[in-house]
Amino acid sequence: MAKVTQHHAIQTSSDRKNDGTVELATFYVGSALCGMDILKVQEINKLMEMTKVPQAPTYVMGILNLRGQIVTIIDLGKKLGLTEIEINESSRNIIVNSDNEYIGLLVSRISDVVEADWQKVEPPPANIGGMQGIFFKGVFKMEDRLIGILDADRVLAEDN
Amino acid sequence: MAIQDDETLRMYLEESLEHLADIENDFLTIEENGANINEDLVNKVYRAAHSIKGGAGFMGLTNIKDLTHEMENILGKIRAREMVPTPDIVNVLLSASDTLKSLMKDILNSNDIDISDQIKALKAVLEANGKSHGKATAKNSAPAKEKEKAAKPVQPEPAPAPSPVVSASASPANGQTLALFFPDGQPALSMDAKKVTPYFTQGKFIYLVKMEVTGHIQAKGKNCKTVLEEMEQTGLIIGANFTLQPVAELAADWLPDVPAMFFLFATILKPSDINVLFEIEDEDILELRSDLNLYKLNGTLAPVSDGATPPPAKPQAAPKSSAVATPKHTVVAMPPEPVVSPEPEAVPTELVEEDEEPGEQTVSVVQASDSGPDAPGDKKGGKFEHETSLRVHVSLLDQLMTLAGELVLSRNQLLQSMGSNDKRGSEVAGQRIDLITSELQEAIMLTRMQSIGNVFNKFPRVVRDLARMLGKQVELSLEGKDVELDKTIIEAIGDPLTHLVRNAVDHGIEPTEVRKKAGKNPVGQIFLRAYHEAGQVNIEISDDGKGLDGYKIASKAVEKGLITEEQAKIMSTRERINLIFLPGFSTAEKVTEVSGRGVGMDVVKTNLDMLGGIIDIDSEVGKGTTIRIKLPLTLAIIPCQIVVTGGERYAIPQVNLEELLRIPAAQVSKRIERVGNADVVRLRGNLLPLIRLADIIGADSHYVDPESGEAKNDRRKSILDRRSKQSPLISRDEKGTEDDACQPEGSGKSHSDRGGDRRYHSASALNIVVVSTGSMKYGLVVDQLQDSEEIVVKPLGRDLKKCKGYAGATIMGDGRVALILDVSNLAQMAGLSTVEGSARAAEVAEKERAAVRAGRDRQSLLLFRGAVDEQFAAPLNLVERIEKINRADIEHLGGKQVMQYRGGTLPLFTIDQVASVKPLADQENLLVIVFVVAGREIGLLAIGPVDALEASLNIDGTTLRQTGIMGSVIVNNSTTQLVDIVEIVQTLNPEWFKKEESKKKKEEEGKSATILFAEDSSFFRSQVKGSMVKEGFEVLEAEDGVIAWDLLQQNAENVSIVVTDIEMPNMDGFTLTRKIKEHPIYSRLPVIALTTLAGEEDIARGKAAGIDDYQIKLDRERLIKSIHDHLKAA
Repeated sequence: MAKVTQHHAIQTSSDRKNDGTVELATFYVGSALCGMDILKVQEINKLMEMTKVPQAPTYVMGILNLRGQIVTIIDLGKKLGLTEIEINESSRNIIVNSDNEYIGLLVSRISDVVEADWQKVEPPPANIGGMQGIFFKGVFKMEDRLIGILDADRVLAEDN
Repeated sequence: MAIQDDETLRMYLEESLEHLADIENDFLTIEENGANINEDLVNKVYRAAHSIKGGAGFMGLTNIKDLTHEMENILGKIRAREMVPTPDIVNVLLSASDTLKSLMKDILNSNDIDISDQIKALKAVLEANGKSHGKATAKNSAPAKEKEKAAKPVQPEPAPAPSPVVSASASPANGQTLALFFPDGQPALSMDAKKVTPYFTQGKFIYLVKMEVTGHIQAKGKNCKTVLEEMEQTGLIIGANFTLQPVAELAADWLPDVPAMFFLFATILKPSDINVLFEIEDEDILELRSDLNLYKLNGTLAPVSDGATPPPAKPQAAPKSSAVATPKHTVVAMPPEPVVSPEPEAVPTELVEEDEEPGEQTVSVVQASDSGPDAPGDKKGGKFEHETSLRVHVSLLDQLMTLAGELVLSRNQLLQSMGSNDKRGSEVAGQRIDLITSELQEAIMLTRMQSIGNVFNKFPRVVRDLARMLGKQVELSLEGKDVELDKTIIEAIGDPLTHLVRNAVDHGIEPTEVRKKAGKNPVGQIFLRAYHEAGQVNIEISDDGKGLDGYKIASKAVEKGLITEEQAKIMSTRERINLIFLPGFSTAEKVTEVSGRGVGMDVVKTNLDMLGGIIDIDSEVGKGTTIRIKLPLTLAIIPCQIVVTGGERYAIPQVNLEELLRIPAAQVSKRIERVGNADVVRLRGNLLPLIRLADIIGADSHYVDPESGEAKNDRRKSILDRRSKQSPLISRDEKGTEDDACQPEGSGKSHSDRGGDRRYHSASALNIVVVSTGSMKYGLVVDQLQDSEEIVVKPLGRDLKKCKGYAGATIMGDGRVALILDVSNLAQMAGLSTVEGSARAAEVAEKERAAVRAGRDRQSLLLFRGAVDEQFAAPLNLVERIEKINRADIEHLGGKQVMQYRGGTLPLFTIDQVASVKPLADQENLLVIVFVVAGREIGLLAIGPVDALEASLNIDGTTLRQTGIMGSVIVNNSTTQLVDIVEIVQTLNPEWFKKEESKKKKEEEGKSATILFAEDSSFFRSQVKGSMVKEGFEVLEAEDGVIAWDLLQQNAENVSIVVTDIEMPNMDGFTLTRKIKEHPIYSRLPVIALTTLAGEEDIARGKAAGIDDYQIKLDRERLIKSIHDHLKAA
């Protein structure tokens, strides 16, 4: 039995094929423009009433109550090796579902939803504006700007 | 493989696991019963195996099918009493059921697993039995065929499917299974006799009825269903030769799958009336009487069928298997394996035979009627493994549905009133929602509750197997299986409990010979008990084994470097025993397969800690061990104390909470001490290590400025530091930075408190949450204490898993999140071990204990006076009574003072008769203090006021010493003389003692015994020694246990008795005694303990250490007597 369900799980979580187009929710981490598959995004909010967690890793901003669920808020800037995100009017939490757990990514600012063609996505360079390339699935070039497509699961994986 | 579809397989699996859940314990019971077979039980197991087999055949799970088939064969034999379920046979069955379980776990691959060993083992059992049994029955077969009822071969060799050869055995002449035949030799059916007999006692008649479907029913225009219905109305169908389903469920045109139905029918209808019901030929109805013979309706014995050549049995495989296996049999293409393959050619021609498995009928019937309640009824026999699905009673679900409905309604109401700004309406709706939520919570909790029996049920097997392996005899009793706990806890408690039970068997219970030697019941007892108490579930595991030796444990712990020797010395027995929870501790001298890998108890404790449970051990050497576990009912919602530190709220689970302590500002310096790096608080004579929450978790501690009311960062380095810059303790650099506004220089209070502690403001009080985690207790210093609340535990995200200080998070009423503290991990983070704080704390604790010990060396004294200004004291425990008398009551006769007392004459005396003290005060009202000396009562005349008090005996034995006065002691600022009653009486009435002495002299003649006397108080030493020397003993004095031990070793040959004080420095009396008693040579020495106060507890403890007798220090007469007695005995 267990086997069967595992199979299901693998299928649902396996990456959707990197072909066709994908809608990206884009946002700024500091000055860098990043994007993420919009289907990964659960919601975006501006709840900043966090509870600090002493002794937590430095990139953990705190925890907050999202309709009865405890969500860990992560400073995406720090997590990606940039400076910490300044909390102001424009900063937002992007709540993503990673590994059956809700995690909030604190970003500086939310931008548009962009439709990206996988064909045009280029593999990530080793370094994108100071951020490690391994956190990205690729780079999408638009006429006027570059969007680094974040690999949310990679970013949130425990070992880094 | 023909796995039909997931759903079917899943259902099969669930069902089979349910069947398997109980099978283990049933096997054990079967084993226990031995030859005295409980057929119901065997049938139950048989049925279980059969159902599993049926389904397996249908699913194409050949391995499972084969295995169950073999099991079924053995069970069949057991049921037929052809095989006695010996432990060896049960062993094979048990291991087969284990294999079955593991096959079930990986059911998809089960066919690829090699189970030939199991099958072989099972077959071997059958074969071994077949041989011996065949021989046995061959002799008995002739008489066995005498009568129908007795002679039937109840269980012909249940031919293992592949081999058509069946031994000629049959006919166990035990008559327990009834095989019923019609006079024409037609086998009707066979029954378990036990199923039948109860009806006789109920005054019912039992009939064997034959009804041909065509001839008796259809020909008369009836249908089978109505016939059955009529029968059910007048009686009870006990057995039938077809699959009997609940009549109400039958289709109107239902036909039995046999041409002629045979019933065993119990009814109150008399033989003369019975045929009214059936309207058939009288020959087709036979009465079964209590002698188990069949009679015709006219009362004559039914002709005994020759039985030797009955027509071959009709193969009944089809109805049988369909009854047992899932109903899907009928619809699936794959035909069910002929589950019980009756192979006509295999049937022996000699003797009677009949359908292959006579019990099958019964089985079918029961199975059919049981199948309804069976499923939910068995749900408690859940598995030990983590379950992914849970059975919930429908009524509970309905209740949840209703509540959910109400919740929705209330929500609508709330939204509506909010929309229309109806404040009152929202309030009402809010209240409703409040109520519904509570109910909902309760109902949902109930769905998660499972009985602890799920865990307990696996222990009989564990204990049995282990005991067998270790060659011990152990009996396990279970109590409180019905106690319900949250599913999560049930699952998590399994492993720790198993460990404890295994420990009890492995380490606790001694081998049989050892037990016998110790005069114990050779069968060790383990008692497992669960019960509710104070909103928690308690689980007790006790054994009557060898118990835990605290000293051994402590020395082991020292050896392993887990604690220091000093720490070990000052620990209580309980603390010592609880050392086994320290990581890396294992007392097993040998590492056995079972336990003793050194990772035992600390893992148990860690697991229980995670559950919010508390574990405690109580043990007595030689008597046994009791382990108590306290568990919360549920983990999801727990009551918590909310505290605030650094502006954030934290929740501390109430289970860990001992008490809340608020130390007023003014007392902080008095009650808090800084030892080494640790703060400790004095709490009722104990020292409690303190931890500042803010320090461990690294949060900022806040305090409320008493003047401004603002919260400020607390910059003190330690609790004892003062915030004020005037504090002499404050460090230099802090002085400059301290906020002047905090405590203005000019404030009046400041002035008045100058020089003292100026923590005068209530907000400066210290808030301490005293928490405990099993063996450890400490104080957590927090900024503020808030309410206690019921909180819902929510897990923390993976990024926070490494923060050990938190057990989870919860959402507070205002929607914000608060962290739940894990107090045991906090203690670890703070470096507190289970052993009280730091070494320095231990030192201080030792001082405290010394004080307590000094307190114990106290003597109860009776204070009285002779003259108004002269106070005397006598040991209270020598005093029999105190009487108030009038001076006129005293009679002066023969130069002596006496008085009438209780029908006799009581001699009276005054102290001044012997000692040069002031004469008795001249007053009317006198007191007579009655003592018993040398077996006689004697009264001391005195005056009041009398008082009893416990005084620390700092007795001066020289200054005021004189005949009749032992010495003096200061009581309440006045010098009090201690009266030596015995000496006085001896002086006054020497003749009272003469007989005693002469008798003793005779005994002692030739050898003057040497007494080793250990006593730390020099007063008592000289007192007691004096009386011993007077008796003619040689006395070796020792100031403490260590000296005594040395003296004993030096004078081993001379010493013939040891008298020791209990409370002594360096080595106490208990230890000394234990050392003596454990020594091969000295162990024969009698040991008498001297104490000032002999409490029950002390006596018990002393007895355990090996102390032979207890005597009170100042009761010299009894002491001497005891010495004599023990010398005589030795």
